[in-house]
Amino acid sequence: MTDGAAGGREPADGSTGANGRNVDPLERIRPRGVVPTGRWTGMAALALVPVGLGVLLRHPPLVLVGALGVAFAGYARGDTAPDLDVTIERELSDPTPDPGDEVTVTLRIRNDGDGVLPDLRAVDGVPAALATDDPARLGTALRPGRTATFSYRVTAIRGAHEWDPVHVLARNPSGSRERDARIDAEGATTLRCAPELEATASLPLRGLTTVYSGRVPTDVGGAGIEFHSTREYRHGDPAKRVNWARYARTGELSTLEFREERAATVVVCIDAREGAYLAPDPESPNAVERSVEAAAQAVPALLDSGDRVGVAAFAPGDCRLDPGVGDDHAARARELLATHPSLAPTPSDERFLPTTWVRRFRRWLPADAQVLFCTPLPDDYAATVARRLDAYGHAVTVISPDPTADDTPGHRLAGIERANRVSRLRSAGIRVLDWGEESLATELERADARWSR
Amino acid sequence: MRAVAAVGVAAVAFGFVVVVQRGLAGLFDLTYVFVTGAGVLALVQGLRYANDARTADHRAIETGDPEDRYEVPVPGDADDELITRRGYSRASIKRRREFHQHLRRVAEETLRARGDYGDGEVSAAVDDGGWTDDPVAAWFLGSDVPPPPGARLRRLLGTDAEFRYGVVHAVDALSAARADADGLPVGDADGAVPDATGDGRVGSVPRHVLGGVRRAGRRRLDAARDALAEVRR
Repeated sequence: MTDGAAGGREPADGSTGANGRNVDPLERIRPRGVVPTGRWTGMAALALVPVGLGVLLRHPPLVLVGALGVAFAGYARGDTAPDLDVTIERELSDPTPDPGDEVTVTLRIRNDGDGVLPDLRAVDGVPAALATDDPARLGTALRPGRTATFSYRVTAIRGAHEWDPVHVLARNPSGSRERDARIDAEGATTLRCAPELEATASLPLRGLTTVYSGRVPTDVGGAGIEFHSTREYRHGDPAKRVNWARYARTGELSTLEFREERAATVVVCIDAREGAYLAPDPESPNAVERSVEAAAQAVPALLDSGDRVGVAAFAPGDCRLDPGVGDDHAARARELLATHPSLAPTPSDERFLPTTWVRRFRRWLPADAQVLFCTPLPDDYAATVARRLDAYGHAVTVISPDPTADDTPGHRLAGIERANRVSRLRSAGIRVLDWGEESLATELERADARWSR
Repeated sequence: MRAVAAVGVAAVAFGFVVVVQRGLAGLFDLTYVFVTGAGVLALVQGLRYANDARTADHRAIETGDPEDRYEVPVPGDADDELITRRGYSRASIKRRREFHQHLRRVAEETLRARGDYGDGEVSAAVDDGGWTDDPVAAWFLGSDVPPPPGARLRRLLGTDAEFRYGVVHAVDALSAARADADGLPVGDADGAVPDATGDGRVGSVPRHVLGGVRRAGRRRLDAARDALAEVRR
């Protein structure tokens, strides 16, 4: 006789919620193991009341009816909870799908015990970020040595999604007692979905650059494309930069200077605090999802243009990727954006101290780094962080996915507050891309046109 | 309860003794009274069990809904919960007062973003209700504005109805003010001004500037009229 607990198959942390999904808090304190359901409570009354009435009324048949109640009461009390000795295997049709792919999850439950399980219920611990239209549960009776199978389909989204243990219930035939266990399934327990990084058309950057050549125009004269100034000719200046028109006119040699284009160091910082997990409706991707999507488009665009790119999460956990270049770096960025727990599609339960994070982030940030801050601006603190980093000399650009709705007064008020934050940042000289329902590329093009004026 | 238990224990003990000393059974004659007493006891006990069953907690282990995706909140859900809550308690009064103060701060910030009031004028504008055409919003957020008839009527229905009425109007008025502010250009990092050409201009002056000047002029005119009325009086 081994149930989940006895067999050591309970999760170590004793977690009860399905991957942290919104669950009744009472469920967390409900006892595990055998639970009397109370379904037959009062059955003794069925024996005693007819007997009492039969005696008082001198009516022997009523006393005999009481015997029926005695039989029922004995049945309910004598029936024990079944032993739960089962093995569960889980299989994913594709453990590393692309976003949007349908993945079939198959569960096989085998009764390894000696007794029949007359009423067995199994509910799979589907990861909280994944949804399924099919029931992820099974109710059946299972004889010893037999296997029951059920399957359902989930749609893959970005992230490393780990299944919770399977919640298994077994009831005795009378239903007077239940046995409850969480059993880890053998086989696949994690689905990893890492989207490809797709570059946007262009990502406008601010003027803070490194000494390396790149594509960000600076106010420094030298080699480049856009005219900057002329200066006196110096020995060794290339002939193609000599101002021959002026030479023909005046006979004096002068050299043309162009705006030097240099590379920038950019750190893409994603606000993934618990308060940033917001969405205008249940069907829409939440703001953290959209922020990660923005980062997944910004990182390759910047790398393609020769900029050094780093990634960080304004969230619990140490999610940082030092600025770098190259294909290997792009692969590391992709992996981090796809699967780092700090950027998971559901919020972390870890404690988070934002002021400490900002202090550490500043120490880690290279002095010449710009910051691309992806945040829905859910509170004033996000705006404060942007302003503080900008004040420390890191040119900040905010990409802000809009998670607000306008269907109720409260939702409208939240939208007004967010718009005020955007205004405040803009008046402080910080670029803000207010990302509505259109694609990020479209919004970026529009912002680029505005910012370059 | 203790007495009932004591009687029960004594009865069981006596029963065991009778098994050994059969003669003791003769102490009780199986008369009508004895049998009736046993019947009454059975009936009472049966009714007690039935009553326990009526009030008993029937438990079943919850399995949750793992098929549903994790739902994140919509910004403003907590405010909606407060706005729609009915009733009158000390906690709700405190929360409503805090929310009112918060709404007023948002109003001042929105008016600053709209740009037609100086920093020192914003608070006075909210106080006197001159920032909006909606008398309910002006009354709800202001301090010198008499309540409109609609608000008086709702006060009769309860403070929660009055609060809800005021909040809905105030938020609508703020939305309108915010829409005005969004029509204004906001200097970005490069100092660029959007919509500074084409339809955004009237002659060489942008439309929003004209709008701001008009509004400021209208306020001054109103103030002058009020002052004149005072002088006449």
